[in-house]
Amino acid sequence: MNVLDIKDVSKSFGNHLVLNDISLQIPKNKIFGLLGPNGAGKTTLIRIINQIITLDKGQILFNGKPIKREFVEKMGYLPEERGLYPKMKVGEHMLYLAALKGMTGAKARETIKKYLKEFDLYDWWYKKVEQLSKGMQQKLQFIISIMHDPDFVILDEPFTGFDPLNVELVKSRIKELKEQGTTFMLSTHRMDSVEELCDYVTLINKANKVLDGNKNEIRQTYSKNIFEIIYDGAESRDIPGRNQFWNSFENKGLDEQGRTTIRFMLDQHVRVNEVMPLWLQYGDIYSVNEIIPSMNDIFISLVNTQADEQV
Amino acid sequence: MNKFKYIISREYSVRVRKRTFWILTFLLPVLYAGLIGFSVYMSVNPGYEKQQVTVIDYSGLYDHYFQDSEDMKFSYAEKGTEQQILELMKQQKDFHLLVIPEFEIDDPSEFKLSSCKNSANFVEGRLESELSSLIKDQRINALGLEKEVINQLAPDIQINHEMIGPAGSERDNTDQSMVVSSVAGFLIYMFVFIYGSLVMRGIHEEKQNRIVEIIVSSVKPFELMMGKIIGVALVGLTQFFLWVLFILAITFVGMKLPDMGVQNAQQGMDSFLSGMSALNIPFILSMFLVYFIGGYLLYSSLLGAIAAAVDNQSDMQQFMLPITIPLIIAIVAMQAVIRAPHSPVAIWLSMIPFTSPIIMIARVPFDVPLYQLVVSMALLIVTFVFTVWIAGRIYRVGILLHGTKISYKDLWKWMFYN
Repeated sequence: MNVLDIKDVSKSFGNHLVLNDISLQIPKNKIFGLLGPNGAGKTTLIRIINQIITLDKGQILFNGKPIKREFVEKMGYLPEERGLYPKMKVGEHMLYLAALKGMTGAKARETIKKYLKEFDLYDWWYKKVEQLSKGMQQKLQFIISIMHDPDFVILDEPFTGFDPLNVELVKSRIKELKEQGTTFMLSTHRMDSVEELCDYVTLINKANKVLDGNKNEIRQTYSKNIFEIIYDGAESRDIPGRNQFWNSFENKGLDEQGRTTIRFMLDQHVRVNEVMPLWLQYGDIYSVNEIIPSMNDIFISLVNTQADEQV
Repeated sequence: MNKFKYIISREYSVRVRKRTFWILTFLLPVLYAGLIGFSVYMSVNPGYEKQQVTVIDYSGLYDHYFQDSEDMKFSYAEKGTEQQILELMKQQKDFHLLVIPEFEIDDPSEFKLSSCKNSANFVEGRLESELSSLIKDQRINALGLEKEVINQLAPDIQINHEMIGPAGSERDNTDQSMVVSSVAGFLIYMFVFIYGSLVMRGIHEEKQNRIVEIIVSSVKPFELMMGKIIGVALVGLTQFFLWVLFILAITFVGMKLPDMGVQNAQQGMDSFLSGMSALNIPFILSMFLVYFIGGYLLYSSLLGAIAAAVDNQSDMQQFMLPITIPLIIAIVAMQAVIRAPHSPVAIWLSMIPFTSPIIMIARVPFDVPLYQLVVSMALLIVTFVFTVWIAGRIYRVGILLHGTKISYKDLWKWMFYN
């Protein structure tokens, strides 16, 4: 079941095409990474999902139904460009935004209290927003995006402005909510967060979708049969039959514990098991790992490839 | 609709809770009371010392003629003492020397008044009129006529000015109408400016501090804009009603004050107020509300659109100017309109929606034909619906745009294309 089905969505501003036939499926109960360089069209797509702007062409289904204005109450949104009313008091501000999301009365008050306590902001209830530090305001904004218990939350660069402790706090909250059934769309340039949190990713570049799918499968797809082997023993440059198996070979040398690390890329048809016996002649194998490209590597290589193609 | 309520209530409550709102709300009636009190005080206490006038009379006609009054005291000096007196006067103030020469009754001239610097300047006029009436009496005598007979010759004419309306003859209340129209016209001008700029500032702040994207992910941009416009309008109306209440209270208390030697003022006030009763105050008030709301919606929506479109204050000024020019034209033209409320210029300006809120309300106390009111209101309504619509279009795009310099061409595109 998909929370969101985006079908052939296009959008232009004047003559400038911002989204070109974008189709995405966002499965329920997952964290979906929306990646892309600056100006790729991510924010436009997010605003279309949030019903802030209209699409020119295509269709969006929310929980299987064509998206409607009312559905925004079931969504949470933390925009990249975000602010608060500086002169309003914290509690009052939160209650106001909760009311706009359809949550009022004692329930709203209780929920907000609970979150403010959790994020260590409860003592600030009667303080003006402008008296809060930037990090505290960021936490408030994160609470705003989740407090009305939405089915689907869009977080656009949620970690900017946070210290490492708060980054961990927010990450763990995202994971918890996911466990409880919330679906997230995470748009960020922090690839470490993508690696850590996302189940699915899509990459948009210059209005087009260039990559889409399960994160681990994508990494597998982009893996190039590269392995790293560490073994006890002296290095050896002369491994019999080496040209037969690999087309690159990098010797990282001997470390302090007397272990040699070698990284090699095997030919596509060669399995790593076939080359293992070669090393056993030189020493005990300590570890063998496949080197799977990071999302960062994939991101850079795809965006660069596109740029090269245009040149 | 439900959420709209929250926006209006926030916009209203944050402003009404501000200290500046209450300061302004209380200060204005207090200033008004102060102004009335001050003018009454000034009419009773002129604020200057009694003027000492020494008379040297060479004609011998006016020995001890001048009577002391509230503000002037007369004394008489010997002929030939001018120099001594003038010398003494150098150290004085509020001191005058009147020298009456020997003169022919047919050619009274060479009267001379010397005054210390910094003296009150009414003395010259007062003495001139006293001397004129004195010489006139003497001339009457010289002609062998009776003063009473001459006085009978001067008629005291009071024209009974009557206004003919559809209902027949009515009392003339032009003075009252003029006061009411200039006050009403000026109030609308002020309100549209004050509250229009409040809307503009509010929208600009929302855009600048980036709260707006969070809000428009819950409500439509148009709802946010209209919520602000309506919330601020309610603030304006609240302030207006409080002012009316206070001013009524102050006027009432002022009229009940015990005799403070202000009988003249009191009588003038009474006759003015009785003239006011001939005006249809409830009708004027309701027209005031209609034109205030219409004018406010028209201008605040345009100012709001500007605030949403531009990024910085200086650009805002540049776009504001063409919008505020009609308002300024209206307030300048209002004086002429009040003098001739049924002239073609007055009629045209009260039809054009950009000037009608001020000009029409200034004409309303002078019995505007119903069809003109209807046409003017209809045009105003159609226009503000249109300006609110285009403002919504501009707002929707502009509010989320940062760091782009906006031209009129861009605004045009946002209005009519997606």
